[in-house]
Amino acid sequence: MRMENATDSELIAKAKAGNENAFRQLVVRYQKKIFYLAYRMTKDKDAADDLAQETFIRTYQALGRFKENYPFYTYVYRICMNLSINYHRRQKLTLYESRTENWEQMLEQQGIFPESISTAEEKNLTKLEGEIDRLSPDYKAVVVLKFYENLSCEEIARTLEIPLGTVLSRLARARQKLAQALTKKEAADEV
Amino acid sequence: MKCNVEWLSAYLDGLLSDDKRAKLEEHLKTCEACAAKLEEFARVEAVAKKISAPQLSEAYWENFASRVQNKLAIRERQKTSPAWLEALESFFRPTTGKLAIAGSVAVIILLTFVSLDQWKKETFRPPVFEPETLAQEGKVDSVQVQAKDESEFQTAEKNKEIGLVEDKRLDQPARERPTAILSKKPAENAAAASVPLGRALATPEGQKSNEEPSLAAYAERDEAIRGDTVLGTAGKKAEIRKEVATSQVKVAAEEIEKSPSQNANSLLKLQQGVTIKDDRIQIRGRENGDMVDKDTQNSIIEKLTSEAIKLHKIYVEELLRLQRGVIVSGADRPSTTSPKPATKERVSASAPPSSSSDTTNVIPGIRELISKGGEDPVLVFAKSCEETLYIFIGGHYLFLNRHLPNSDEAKMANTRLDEFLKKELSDSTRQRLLQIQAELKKLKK
Repeated sequence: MRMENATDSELIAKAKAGNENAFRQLVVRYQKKIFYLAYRMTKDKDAADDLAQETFIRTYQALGRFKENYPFYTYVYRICMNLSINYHRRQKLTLYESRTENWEQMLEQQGIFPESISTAEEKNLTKLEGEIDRLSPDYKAVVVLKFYENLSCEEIARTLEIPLGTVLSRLARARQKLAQALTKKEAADEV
Repeated sequence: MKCNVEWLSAYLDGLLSDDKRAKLEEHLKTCEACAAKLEEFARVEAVAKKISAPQLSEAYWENFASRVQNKLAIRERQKTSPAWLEALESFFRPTTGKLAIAGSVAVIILLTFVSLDQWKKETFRPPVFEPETLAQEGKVDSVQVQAKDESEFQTAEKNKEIGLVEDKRLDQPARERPTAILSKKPAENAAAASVPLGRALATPEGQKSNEEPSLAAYAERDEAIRGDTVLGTAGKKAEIRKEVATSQVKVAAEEIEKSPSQNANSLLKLQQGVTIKDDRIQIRGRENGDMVDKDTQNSIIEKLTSEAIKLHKIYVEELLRLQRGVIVSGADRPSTTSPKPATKERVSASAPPSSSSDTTNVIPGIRELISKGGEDPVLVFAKSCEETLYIFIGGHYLFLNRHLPNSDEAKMANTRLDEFLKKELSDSTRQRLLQIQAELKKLKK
């Protein structure tokens, strides 16, 4: 049987038995998902690259403990999210609001920053992107898995190993915060 | 029922039980706030999904698994050390543990000093005015000064971060880092500032750390971590570079060349038309293929920098002339001379707003403003000057920093602008601008 057609659990079983190609196939299968998951969490390509690589290394090292009746993605997503959340905490990202924001603010306050440079939609995107980035890592993790990985709340709970109720309340609060930011911005634009 | 955000959110995900759903739907009929919130929640998700992520090359993905496997091999190798070594290690374990802690502390202290040193060298100075001047003048509110301090702090933090994370750069001797240009003597500084950005970046000192985070850079990073040369051989690097160079480089370069860049609008257009995506510059409004390689990217940045500098210079010159009550024609104005400090008092009424035929070539928008009359032409001009300062310098910074955060290119460009402003904005001009700012504030009130 070709590796490409094998199921995740078949590949895991082989990888556990020491088949390097099987593990390689798992990496290839999930590399994009994991990279972009890390990227959405960090907004930094280098960091995402590091975290994605580390995710697979940890995955491999802990393969022996993996229970085959669980979906593999939950397992590898969890490792990636934990690494990303830790990365966030280490970075203390709140310190790094770049000074460009000051310029942007200044230009906008002066009414100088030309409307044409970015359309209203682009502004919304930038604003929302910034707001998501400012969410605390625990909330951001839920938002990223929900919005970009389209996981159900139950799947998110399993991946992050937190109760479903916690997922629901984090998601609700995050949504409220993001919605507020979006509408506040638009109201300011109208004035 | 009371308004309940969690119910709204769960409703959106189809997770409410039947009776709760019925209750909420009933509530939504009467509560406009909740109905609006529900719509907003849905919109947030829709907008968020449009936020793009960088596209990486096929080569990156093809190499990804190999890189994982190489790293794994290294870790495994590190784990399986000879038995005698393990015995020796276990014998000394308590001590080595303590030593490790002591060592870490020493390293942290050392790094802190190195970072502080780095911080001093790289500390960013925002372009417009020095805080001391602002504070002495007392004409700018404290918020602005504070904002500047904060930005310095943040930049310093960033630098520290760079120092700590990218240990490879720290390993280089100070003179090999591009920022070292700053630490040279003033005369050399001026010379460095006058080197076009592209060339400055291409100097041997700058070469290594100015690499964009390309596949080659990732490979190099791995290499540095690992200490061997499985990846990132010369052949591979060349291949990657070849891949990066696109056939549309010429088209894009011509596009930039064609832009008549002698006035404000064209600079704005240049800024609007150029975005940097996935390490490459993209000309907006063209197909995806029109990515530009690093050389062109540098040349665009260089162009933007020189345009901003040129335009800023023109405005400062014009302001000084206007102050002296003399409006000269575009033809009379020697474009290369440095602005002379204003010696006379402002002669507000004597600036003739008419006779636009000889002046329209220089700055049409400003002339128009002045010819409208009414307000003090100096103030009108100053306002435009202030605005253009913000647009060109601020916009330029914005452009650089948004697209090149943390990168050496941005730092270099910032440094050049800072140097320029320090050199070109004489004290008297600066004070004059501060006065004007204060007058403008009064006027606005």
